[in-house]
Amino acid sequence: MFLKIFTSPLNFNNLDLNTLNFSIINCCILLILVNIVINILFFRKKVYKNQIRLWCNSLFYISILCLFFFKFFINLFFLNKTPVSSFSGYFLKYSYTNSWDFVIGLNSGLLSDSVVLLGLVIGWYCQFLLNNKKLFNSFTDHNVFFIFILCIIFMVYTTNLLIMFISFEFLFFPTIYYIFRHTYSKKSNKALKFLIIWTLLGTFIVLFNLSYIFGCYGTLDFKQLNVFKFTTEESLYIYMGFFLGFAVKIPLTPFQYWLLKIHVEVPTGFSLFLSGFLVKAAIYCLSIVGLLFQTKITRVIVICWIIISLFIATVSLFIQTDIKRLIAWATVQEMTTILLLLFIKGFDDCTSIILFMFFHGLVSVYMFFIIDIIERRFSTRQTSLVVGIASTMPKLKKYIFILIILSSGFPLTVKFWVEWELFSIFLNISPLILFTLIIIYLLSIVAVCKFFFNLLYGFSGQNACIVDLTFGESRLLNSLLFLLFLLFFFLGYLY
Amino acid sequence: MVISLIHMYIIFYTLNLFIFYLIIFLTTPLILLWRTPINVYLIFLKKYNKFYNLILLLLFNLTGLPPTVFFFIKVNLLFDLVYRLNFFNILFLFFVFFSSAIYYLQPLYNKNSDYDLTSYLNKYIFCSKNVAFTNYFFYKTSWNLFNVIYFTIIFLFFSYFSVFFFFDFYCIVKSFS
Repeated sequence: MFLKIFTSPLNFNNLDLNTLNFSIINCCILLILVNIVINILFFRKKVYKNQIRLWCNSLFYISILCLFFFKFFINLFFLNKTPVSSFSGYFLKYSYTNSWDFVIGLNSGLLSDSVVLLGLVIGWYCQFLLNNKKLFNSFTDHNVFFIFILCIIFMVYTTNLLIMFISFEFLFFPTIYYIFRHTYSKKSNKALKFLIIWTLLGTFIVLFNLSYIFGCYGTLDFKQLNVFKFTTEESLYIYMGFFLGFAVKIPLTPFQYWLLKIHVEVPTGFSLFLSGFLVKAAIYCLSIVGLLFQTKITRVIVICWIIISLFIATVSLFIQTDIKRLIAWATVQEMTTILLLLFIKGFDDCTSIILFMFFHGLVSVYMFFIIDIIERRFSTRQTSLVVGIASTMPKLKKYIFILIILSSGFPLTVKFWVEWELFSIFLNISPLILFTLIIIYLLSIVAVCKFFFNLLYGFSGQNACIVDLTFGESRLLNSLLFLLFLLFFFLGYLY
Repeated sequence: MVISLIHMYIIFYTLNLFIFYLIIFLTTPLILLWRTPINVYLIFLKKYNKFYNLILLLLFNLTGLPPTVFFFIKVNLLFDLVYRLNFFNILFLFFVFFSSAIYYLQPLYNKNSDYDLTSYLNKYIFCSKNVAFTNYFFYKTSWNLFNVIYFTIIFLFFSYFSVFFFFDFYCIVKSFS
């Protein structure tokens, strides 16, 4: 498989996407395994200098990132862009057959690629911030990071529901590890308890669903399950079970308590991983399951649920006193927006979903990094105490202004186009829902602007000596802005 | 197939408990086992026991979460069971599996505890402080006849008796019969 791609002449008119995609995925898995083995064999002891370890790991990481970027753009330019209306259509378009079809063989569609890319980018930032801005500093940390990438690849490219589920659950082990290693507050114990209990609840619901399907139909393979015709009642119960299980992990409104608790307790590096990637992985899994079991009734129920969830999340933005808690609620709100888009549009045209996923991932990194900077200076996250930044930190003020523009859905930003698309769809379906959605999004803009303007121009009555942004911090923020700028050009290409 | 799975379950459960009790009884003073709550005891193990990671691993194995052996056994059992039962039995089974996982995860929640271990342990040390918490001290306090007998009784009780009354196992056997 590897040799075929290198030996055969590259003809872009008749490009074998199947072989190309498979070679890249296999190549990446091989690279990760080789890297882990090298780390265990050579870099376990502290005899070696950190610089060698840094370069070796960075080389592997950059090569994996480049391969996936290449795969993403090849699929973007060369895939057949005719819309797909059904599950079988989707799988005819994206699925491949291979010798180890059982593990890897599902779609190489843009959504799957974008989930992997997002994991790679957000994981890097997470590692960077958790290790005190020293990349690949700890032996265990970077091994966990590469295992985490391996889990994402298996989760995304599998054809089996059980393997997808297990890989998704494996993503929580790095999570638990990061909490154990990097949290220092006494309350983190309680946060860990909430994380484990709530996510276990979701896990067991999904597991029971899977065992029911396997018991009845004897398979958990996507293609084989697609052949069976489920009754309306059966698909309703199965899908609602899956939805409940993943709603805990996304999380939707009645189940959001664990996310808020954890965001408050864990360090910022981990918060951005949680908000930027982990919740999106749950959305991806739910969307794949939705392809198999979704019916019209479930779609209506879920959309109603999402709109109520959106409303509660938006109202909750007004009453928060902790900055991180506020951002966590904003995450819940934006996740429900992605879900709403997914349920309305389906897999026919997932470009806006991909864009919004990337956008939210990068903006949440940006947002959490700014909060980290503020928390380090002020030693608190209370909204009433952290005020008057415009006068004390003029450099940071510019970045916060850009954040306001990005997060409020200003014209020419990705969020604006996504909201525009959402409103135009609902204009044809139901004007009443459209009206509700417009009010909800207006409220969210008011809440976000109120918070940020209070942060910038509020008056505390204290003359605190606060140091402005350092060069390293502004460089990191600039890198994020550059990525968001690239996303803007990407948006131009797609529309 | 079903019988073999249950046999596997019993074998792994017994083996797991055997190693777990063996490590705990033979490497720590017995007096601490009687008096200390589990979170304080785990802090003690973390400080003074070399096998702390292994103990955590064995405890984690009992939860039946994905990478462990019990997960694969339980999943296979569920694959055979769930589609045969009615909705309320499935709910009951769900509650049983979920609660057992939470029960065994309890010792893992002792992160960042600032419990003053030395002042607590001083009450139970009947020797000079230079000797306390050395290898000699642990050896003398753990390798005595009473400890070994106590270990045997407790192990036998937990492995051979509890496996028959262990609630998810009991539930599974009942469902098959």
